[in-house]
Amino acid sequence: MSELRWNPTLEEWVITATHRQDRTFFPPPGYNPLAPTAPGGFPTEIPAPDYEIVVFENKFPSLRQAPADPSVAGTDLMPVRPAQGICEVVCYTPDAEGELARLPLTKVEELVYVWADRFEELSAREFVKYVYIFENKGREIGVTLMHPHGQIYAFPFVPPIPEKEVAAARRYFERTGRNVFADVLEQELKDGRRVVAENAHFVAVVPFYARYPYEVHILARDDRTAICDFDAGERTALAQMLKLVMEKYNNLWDRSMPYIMLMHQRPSDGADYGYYRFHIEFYPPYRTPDKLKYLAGSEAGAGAFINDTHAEVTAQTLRETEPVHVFLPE
Amino acid sequence: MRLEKKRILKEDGRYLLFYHNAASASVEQREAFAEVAADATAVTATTVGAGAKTGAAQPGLAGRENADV
Repeated sequence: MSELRWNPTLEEWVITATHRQDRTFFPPPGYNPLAPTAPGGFPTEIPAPDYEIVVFENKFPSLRQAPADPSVAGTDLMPVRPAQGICEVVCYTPDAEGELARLPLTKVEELVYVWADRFEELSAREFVKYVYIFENKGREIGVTLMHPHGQIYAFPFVPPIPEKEVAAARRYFERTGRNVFADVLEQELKDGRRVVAENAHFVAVVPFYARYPYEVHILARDDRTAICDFDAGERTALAQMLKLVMEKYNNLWDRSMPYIMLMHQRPSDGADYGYYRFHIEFYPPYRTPDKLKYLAGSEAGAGAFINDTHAEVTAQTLRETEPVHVFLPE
Repeated sequence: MRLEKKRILKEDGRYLLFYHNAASASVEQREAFAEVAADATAVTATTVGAGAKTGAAQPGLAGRENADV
């Protein structure tokens, strides 16, 4: 089943989840587990004839509230821990053919409220150290269920990338007394070339340091460290910005753009993270309409990304791409 | 915006949450939510920077009013 194995050479946990080898893999249309359960039909994960947004514990979780004992004994050098945590699935709509970009703005706004609710509830659990909200979209990303959905992992540790990001923000604050995300945003707005869109509360940019050609970050203008900190007006603005970015992606090459979408928020230990700031990142895997950006030797083995484009160019392309919905599904 | 939430347990012990917005739900969705056998709780934007385990407000939000609807 699942366990956490410590890598002392990188000082990070690896999660094993052998049962996930058996998870649902491209089910036929009549056996979509994320659809509502039709009367007399195949019993799906959602025992209701219709729904709006539902959240449930993943049937094939990497982390469990009550995990089994590890399959191997660890050592002082390489300890092993039960994989305690929570893995949730968030179904955005009962429509299997839909996608987040094409949902009405109200629906996206509702989803922001759901994400905020999940962040608060999961963060309150004693064993949860980090709540990670994300969406994998498209076969290119490795999605095996095409029904529009996202996921939430409530980790028992702060994962490596958020940990590194929070530590960098803390060091920057200690050195300058300023918030690194505020300063990045200020410079991006002053320069302007990498800004894709902005509204009263959020700015979308292809950041100066983008690793993927069409990577977009949605940055909060104000000091908020988690999605539940946003008031009603900010939640509406976040939904508007999300929808705008996703529509631009779909309109870029007139097809549904695959991506990884993720939120970076404060760790869930109740400490003061005022030097940090909430943001959303999108990683589309394509560098041209028909060429994928693979994570190969330099990226996968050395952690050094090679971006085949300049952020100034891809940002301009996205900025000039219509946000209105003109994409039509096949 | 105000959502309602109902929580049920599946046969294998996993929880499932239904979220409902009475203002935007279809008739079928309203009926389906009403049929869920659980008490509804409200989900709004009234929480100001809940500090997770400590309950402490997060920086930058002190004295700030939320525009709850």
